[in-house]
Amino acid sequence: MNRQKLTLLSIVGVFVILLVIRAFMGNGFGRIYVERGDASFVKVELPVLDTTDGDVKSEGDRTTWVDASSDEAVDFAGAESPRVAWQSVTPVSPRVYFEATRGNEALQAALSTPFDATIDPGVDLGTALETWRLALLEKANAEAAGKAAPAVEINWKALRAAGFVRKTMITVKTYGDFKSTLIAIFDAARESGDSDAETTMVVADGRAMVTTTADDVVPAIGLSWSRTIGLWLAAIFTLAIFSFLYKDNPLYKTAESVVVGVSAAYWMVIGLWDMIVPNLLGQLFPGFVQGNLLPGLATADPNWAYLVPAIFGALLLMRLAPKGQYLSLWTLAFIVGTTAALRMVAYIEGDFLSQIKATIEPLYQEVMNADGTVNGYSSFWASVRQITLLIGVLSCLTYFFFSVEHKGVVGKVARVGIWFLMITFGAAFGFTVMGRIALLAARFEFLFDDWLWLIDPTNQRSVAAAVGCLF
Amino acid sequence: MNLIDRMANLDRRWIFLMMGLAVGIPIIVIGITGKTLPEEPTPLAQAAFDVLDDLDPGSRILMAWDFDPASEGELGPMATSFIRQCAQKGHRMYFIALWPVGAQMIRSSTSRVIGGYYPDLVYGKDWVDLGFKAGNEAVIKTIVTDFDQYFPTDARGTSVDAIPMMEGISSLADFDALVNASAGYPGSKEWVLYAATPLKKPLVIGCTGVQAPQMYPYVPNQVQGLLGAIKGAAEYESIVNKWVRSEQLLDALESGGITEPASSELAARFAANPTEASTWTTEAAAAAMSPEAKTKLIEIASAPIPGIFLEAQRRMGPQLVAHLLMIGLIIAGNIVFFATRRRGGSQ
Repeated sequence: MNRQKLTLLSIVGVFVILLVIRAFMGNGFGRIYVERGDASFVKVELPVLDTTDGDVKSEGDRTTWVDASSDEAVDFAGAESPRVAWQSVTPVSPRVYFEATRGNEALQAALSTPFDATIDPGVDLGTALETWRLALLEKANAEAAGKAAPAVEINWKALRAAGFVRKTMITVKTYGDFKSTLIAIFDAARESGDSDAETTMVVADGRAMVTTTADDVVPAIGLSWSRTIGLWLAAIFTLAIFSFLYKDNPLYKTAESVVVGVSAAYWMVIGLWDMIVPNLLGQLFPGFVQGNLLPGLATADPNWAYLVPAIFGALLLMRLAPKGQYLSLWTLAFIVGTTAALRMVAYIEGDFLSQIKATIEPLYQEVMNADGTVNGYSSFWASVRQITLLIGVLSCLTYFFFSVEHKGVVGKVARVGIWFLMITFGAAFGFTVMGRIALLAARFEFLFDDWLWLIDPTNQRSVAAAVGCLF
Repeated sequence: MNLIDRMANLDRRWIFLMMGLAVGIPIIVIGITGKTLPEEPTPLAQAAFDVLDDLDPGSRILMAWDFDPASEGELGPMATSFIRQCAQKGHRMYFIALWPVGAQMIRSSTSRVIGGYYPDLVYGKDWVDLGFKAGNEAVIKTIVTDFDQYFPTDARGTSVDAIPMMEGISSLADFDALVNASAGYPGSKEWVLYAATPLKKPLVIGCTGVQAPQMYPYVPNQVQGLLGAIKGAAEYESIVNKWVRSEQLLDALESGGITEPASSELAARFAANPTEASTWTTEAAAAAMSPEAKTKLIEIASAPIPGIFLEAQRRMGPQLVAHLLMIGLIIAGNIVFFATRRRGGSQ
């Protein structure tokens, strides 16, 4: 084994060891959690309302799919209306998952004392919640300011008396970091000594959810294996692309080929559903498309003029046929001709004439203040800018003017033009470097934040996850 | 072999490693501490903000996201801030993409900003995703006169006739301003040539560093606001962050009983210096406010800016260190060059 291979293997080995160690610290890394819910839609005939003259009147019906829980569904859906249902999956931050599970476990332990059955029905829910919220906020404020924090008591009796049930949300305003507020809530719950064994509280995403065991809720938040595998693939492909910096290798080649293949497939699918189906098939066969592919598409009469682009599109595919490839040239000729014509008009107006107009400006530029007086400082620099622009344009044009030999005055002016060009290229290169560093930073952020959970700039996991690693 | 010879024959992979560390270490440090470098907005970034700020709430803004994940590092923060300013101002946003993956970028940025921070905005009434359309500049050229021809449905397949905010939109001329985040072709240049110039519409552009030098000549006649690369994004982000906080403070002050012009002046003061808010609430001028209103005011003034609205500013830290490294390497390279030439090793 030569020295290069040994070095490469050592780097990979160290990296794998670090990953294994990282996996046993904190709450792991590289996971994506989702909240699963039920989505249900129903097909309804909605009236199309005309309000042009101020009076609302119906102009026929429009068939469409609406959320089964929406007002439209309640008003217009019947028992026989077609319905579809599936499980919706919404990504949630790991913080929500950790707080919902770990926070709940911690609170269950804290609230293990039996519930005092004495109920005070005289306190209304709104008052109880607001008192509690303000007290928590005051406590958090005091802690953040380094002052003695007042004790906060959660009036569980009042909450129970007020009919507090599952899925009732209390908005807990956070002050400073959320962790301190969470601790304040736990402390308050422990200190109150007035807890309810049947009532638990889950703190998630800046909200507190109170549940009762009588109607227990199975948390819908859980690990998404498919998305987690996707995240790991993204990380591995990123590293595979980076590996080219060491030397060309099969990992890099694989990643490069996969990116090209997936991109082509994605383009094709997007092109089909965003362009060919609504814009071509939807024009030629609106009824079929509306009934089978795009239920939301407005029905209309077929527009047979769209046969022309359909035929041109089919001819372009003749490039793949064993015979008759020349037919694709007709389409290509059309594309080249149209593009040339479009560009000529746009470039003459937008680039040629507009840029000449922007250059031919008075050398003295007067900049006015809001009160109508001349701003000397701004006027001076605006004039310098205009003079520099004129010198730059003329000298660069001279440099590219080859009918006269670049000697004497012409040579010197052309030399100035070279300086302008070099400064322009330098600025362009500087911008390019800045752009590339930004892209590298974005990939590193992905690796450190989304994958390795080493940093948490967007507060995705701050309460629990990062603790075991760096803090 | 002396130092000069070693440097002259330095394996380029050491430079890659140094650049990796120069970018990676600041990211970790900034990620842990949460500190970002201060940004002083340039007139170009301020002009980009002013174009959208000067429009009345409810104005129609066409937002073209012409980029892909490869340039998301530069353009993602711009897209986030554009949406935030429009959402906060109450503009109606119409998203389209001339790049296939731009459709994904629209979904990503709208779900992060609108879904996360402006959940009250209603799809179809306040914002709409019209998705990707193939055809490059031909799309722009067509929608300048006939919007429905290219966009019969939105990205979800709903007919535009059934989308309330599409009422009255028949061409690009019906929009009040155009916003474009662009990574190349088709992108900023095409929007300038085919839409902004003939229609004389205000156009705000956020583009990659590679494109920026090509776009500067269009300012200010054809392009009214230009954000070049991550630096432009960071400047614009800082303006929007400060303005949003100022707006929230103004709401809190006015709902607490403080009227104009005092409320505007105080909001601007507290946005610039958040610690002033808690001091002011103890003064006699704040006596009219209830304890709850005061608490809310302090809460808004001292609340940390959400991480997704600091992306560009976070990425300026690695920029600084990486640029210092590059300057150091350029100096070192020149020293090696001249030292080698003096010894007659290289001409």
